[in-house]
Amino acid sequence: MLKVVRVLVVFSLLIFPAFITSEASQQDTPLMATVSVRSVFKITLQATMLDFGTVDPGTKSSEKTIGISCVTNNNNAWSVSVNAESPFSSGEYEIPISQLKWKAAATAGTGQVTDSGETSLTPENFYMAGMDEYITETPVQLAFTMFVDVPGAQPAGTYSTVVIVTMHEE
Amino acid sequence: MIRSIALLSIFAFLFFLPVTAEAIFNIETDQQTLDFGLMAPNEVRDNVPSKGVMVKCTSDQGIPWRLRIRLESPLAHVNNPSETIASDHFWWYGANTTGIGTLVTNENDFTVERIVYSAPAGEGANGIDVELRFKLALPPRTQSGDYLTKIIFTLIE
Repeated sequence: MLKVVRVLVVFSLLIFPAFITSEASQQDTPLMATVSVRSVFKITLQATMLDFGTVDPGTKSSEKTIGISCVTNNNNAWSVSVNAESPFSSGEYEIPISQLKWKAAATAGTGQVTDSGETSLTPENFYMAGMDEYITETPVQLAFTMFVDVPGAQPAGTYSTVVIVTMHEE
Repeated sequence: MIRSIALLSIFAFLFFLPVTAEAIFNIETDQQTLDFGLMAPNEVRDNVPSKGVMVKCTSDQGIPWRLRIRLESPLAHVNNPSETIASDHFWWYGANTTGIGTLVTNENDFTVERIVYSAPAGEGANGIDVELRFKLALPPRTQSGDYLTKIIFTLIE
């Protein structure tokens, strides 16, 4: 009887470790990663003044071109417009602002360009960005040219106005 | 005799019961979020967070184990998930450890799952800390807004 008990005890001890099981050998844990990317929406003009020099009545001034640079990362449709703040004025005299004419071209851009137009007091788009420009990797570059068609009976004087170029998104 | 057989049967049955030992094999981080804050396109931000992310690994299995790291997916814009920050612009590196195993301390990007730390047999019964830091470089063409992903740490034997 004692021998049987011994055999069983030994057998049980031998078997016992084989029934110990361990848990899975892989554990995961997550760490959330976040970043906020700043909004960039900027237009830069290469010059802040256009001087057409001296122009005879009834003639056209020389053409003056400025570079325009636009960047954005907002992924929205955007465009660029031009308007004048007021008519060309010199004291009591005025040159109609429609006599200030412009021509536009994209030197680095894939959007739609309006080739030419007359300045008015209300903004008029001359560049509509292409979809691939809704987020710009490099700036969109535009060449914007202006000249004045001085009327024939225009009194002498120094005429000035402020031209506003605006980049806006929808 | 019958009594003895009965006692032996109970004895044997008790010993033959399967036993499940609760293994200690655990991983946890000291923070829930890795936040790079507000960044501009083209900007690079390194050494984030400045105090590091501590990953505590515990194993009482007595056999070698490894800590691995991967991204669940690239950092994706919250409102426009098709806009992502490529995983080769996002790096990790080991800064320190309380263990005696091998810690990877050079910069590695998140393009594939990689080993961070390799522990020798018997290490980690009381837990060891692995300190990690991160670096992010925003591409020039990156939409504004918030981006999110999960870094997954895996402890594997």
